[in-house]
Amino acid sequence: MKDNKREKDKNDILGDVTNSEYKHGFVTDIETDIIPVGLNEDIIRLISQKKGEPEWLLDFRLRAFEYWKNMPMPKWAHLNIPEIDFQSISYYAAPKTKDAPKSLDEVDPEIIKTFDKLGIPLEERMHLAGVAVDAVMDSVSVRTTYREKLAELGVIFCSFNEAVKEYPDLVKKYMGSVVSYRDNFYAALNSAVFSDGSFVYIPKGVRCPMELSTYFRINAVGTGQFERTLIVADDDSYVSYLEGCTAPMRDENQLHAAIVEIVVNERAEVKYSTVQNWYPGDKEGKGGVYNFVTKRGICRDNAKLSWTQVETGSAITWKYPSCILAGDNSIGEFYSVAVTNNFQQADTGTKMIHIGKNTKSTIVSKGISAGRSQNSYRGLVRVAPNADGARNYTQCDSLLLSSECGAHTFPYVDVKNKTAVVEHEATTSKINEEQIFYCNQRGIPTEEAVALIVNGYAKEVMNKLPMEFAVEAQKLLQVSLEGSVG
Amino acid sequence: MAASEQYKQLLEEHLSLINKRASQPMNNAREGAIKTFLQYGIPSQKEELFRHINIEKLYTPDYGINLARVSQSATQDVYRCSVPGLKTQTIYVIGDIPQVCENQSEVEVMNMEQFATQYPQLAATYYNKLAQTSTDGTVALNTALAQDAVVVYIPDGVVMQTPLQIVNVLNSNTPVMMNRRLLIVAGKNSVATILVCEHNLSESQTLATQVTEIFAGENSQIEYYELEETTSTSYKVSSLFAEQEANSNILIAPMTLHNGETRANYNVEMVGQGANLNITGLSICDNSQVSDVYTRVHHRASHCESNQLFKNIVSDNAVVSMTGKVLVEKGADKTVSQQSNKNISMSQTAHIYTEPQLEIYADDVKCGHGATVGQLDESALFYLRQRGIPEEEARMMLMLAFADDILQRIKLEPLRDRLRSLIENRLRKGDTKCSGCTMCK
Repeated sequence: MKDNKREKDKNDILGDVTNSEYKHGFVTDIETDIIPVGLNEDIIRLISQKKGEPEWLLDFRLRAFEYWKNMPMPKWAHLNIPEIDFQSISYYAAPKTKDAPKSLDEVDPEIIKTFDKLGIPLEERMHLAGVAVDAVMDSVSVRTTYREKLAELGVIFCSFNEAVKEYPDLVKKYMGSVVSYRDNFYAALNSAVFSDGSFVYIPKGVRCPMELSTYFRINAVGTGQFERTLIVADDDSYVSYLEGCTAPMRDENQLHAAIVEIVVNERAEVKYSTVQNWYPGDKEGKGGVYNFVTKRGICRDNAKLSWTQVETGSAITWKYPSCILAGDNSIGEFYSVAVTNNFQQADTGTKMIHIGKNTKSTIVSKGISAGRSQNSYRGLVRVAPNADGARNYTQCDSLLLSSECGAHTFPYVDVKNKTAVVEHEATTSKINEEQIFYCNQRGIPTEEAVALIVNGYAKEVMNKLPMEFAVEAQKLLQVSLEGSVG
Repeated sequence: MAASEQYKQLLEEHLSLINKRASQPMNNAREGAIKTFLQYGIPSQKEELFRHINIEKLYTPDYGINLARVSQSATQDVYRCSVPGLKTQTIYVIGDIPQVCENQSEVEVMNMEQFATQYPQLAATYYNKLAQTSTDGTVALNTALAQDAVVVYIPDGVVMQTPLQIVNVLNSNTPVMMNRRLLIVAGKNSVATILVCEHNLSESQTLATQVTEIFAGENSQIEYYELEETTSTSYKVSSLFAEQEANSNILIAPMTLHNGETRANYNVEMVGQGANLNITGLSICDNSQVSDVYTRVHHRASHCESNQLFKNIVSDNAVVSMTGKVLVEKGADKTVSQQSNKNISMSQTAHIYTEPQLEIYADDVKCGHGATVGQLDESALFYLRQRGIPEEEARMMLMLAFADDILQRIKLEPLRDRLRSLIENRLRKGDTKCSGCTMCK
């Protein structure tokens, strides 16, 4: 009898998990300035013109477009991607603003309300939280906070467009140096049509005093968002960067192809944390964001780059935050929790390219699949012939919450150096019945027990998130796995 | 592309000759195979599953193929294999022609013609049943060209008393290609031990393609060992297909001590509940040896268990690659699957690729995989040297210990002992040939 009840409890919880709905789906009514659908040279010139870009950037876009035209859409991922008509998308949408807002009063109250709903501390709360936010509403940066304070230290934190105008030398030097426009299909597309993004420069020897944060939000029907983030941490500097995204509920699929480039110079350290919660589509698998992201960083001597991600959203996720460990003694880290539910598909992982001597990398990936979703880990660890003393540890675990879902692991290990030590370990299993039983025995109801187990399961990664972000991540896990996470 | 063209032309010109000198079941399969081959061709290195070996290169040389089935003059005495304590029933395959003699036991070992005459029904059912599902052009080409097969039939309830040894040998002064087939049909409750040895006495470039099909009936137990001891001019492309009925038990143990370039595929379909599979392989590669292993274990029924362990010791310019896929279908609950690939790299120029993959569509499973690439444990080495063991010797001990893990899984004791000494010889770079074997002297 009790067994039956327990079974029922568990089914309820799994049902809850499967049935929980996307809570951040609301549409803000703001006038937007949208250019016609389609993609051709004229559109690219138009985007560039609208942004008042210099000639060299337009050239870069056109070169990328020229290259993209001849590229086929990649098919290798374990994803079922519906045919995307790139000509039926509008590649630029900007909230209509007269002039750039100088103070909080000038920011559209609707926009501020949107952020309020998401719980972003944009006003006084933000000051208390010590977070500087460069909020991107669709494609144009709305408001950048704390810039002056950061400027005192010489830290540049602004929208990509501003950086192009104000710091063209830096942008010219580093843009495309880590992710070339020839890199892959979506990187080429982004390079051709990118709308806006963030730019961060940390000067030599500066430790950025606060967490830098950007919120992306897709907000207009039928527009893809193509951000570009460039972070440059000069010698001996440190920065922690947070990226989080939520998107309103939409019926049609939205395309999102971003590029994040990070340059970590000698002895510098960059910590990049992401909470991704794009609209995942409804329970029937209708709608949802297609998320094709190219994220990569390059580490010089003694540098360290750490990626942490909590992926709960998007109908399709295609994302491999990577580290090129070019400098000696450099360190790369990747911590990931990926949750898929209903009809979501995720193919995510990392690449660690060991080139310098005594380079180290750690990969910890936790996948949780529920509903009828497909969740894949795909990772590459490559040790180049000269990377003496390279060390990698990889652990990827998958947790299965329903009998209809899939969990897959595709690790690639390529070693060309005899001194390398590379370890890979992966497990796939459902929630341990014995653990649930153990909790039950001690008076913990099944619901809480499942929560406890899932929580503990993801903890290793959640612990890596900065304090300010952990709360948001917790919230998203709650939304995605309601009823099982306490 | 050029390689595919070459064989397409060959098939067009000589199809009638191939058919004339082959038995009916093989001819029946040929047409479909040719179609498949024309569709897929020889895989190019750009294909995901063939990234670490250049298959086209292996097929490109202008090989002679013994389509007219001219029997070779070698006497079997030359090829006697005498592993101490290992008593086997031996049959020889010279080139790709099986030299089948009288059956010495209740287990029937024959060529395809005999099989088709005695058991036409079985021949029609089993030959090419699994291989035809493959989309690998090399498998289709083997089916299209193969003219004879070794067939091992173990009827229901029969327990093989003496292990069967199949010795593939070759002696040719010109570049040749051989297309070998092996079909093993094990009935219910049968027990069989089969050892396949691969030898090559030729100096010239050779390509051996092999397609093996194993059908394991309910409760059957099959041990299948492969020992590859060829030369640096030997290319080999082999594909093994196995189908496991309920509660059957298969052990597949390939050992590569010496070869040129080898691609080995192992495809196992676990269709019956409670089946058990062990694949355990060892490759010792130096110079410019290439060993590329691909395994695909398909869990289609519940309560099955699969276990894979591959170990490689790599030095000089050798390349080893292991890609393993475990696929658990929906409904294959209570699956337990473990896959492990361990590599020791001894040189700066050796390349190791390892890709253990899991694709799981069921929820009540326990699956794991692990892969390591590393060197000998420095502290273990230090420990041994502290105790007065010279460094070279200490290294040898550790390497043997590494390989011993695989040997422990070999149930055939005389073979295990023989392999142990072969491996030691091999690692000491001494006489790497099977010393008991008259052909190698």
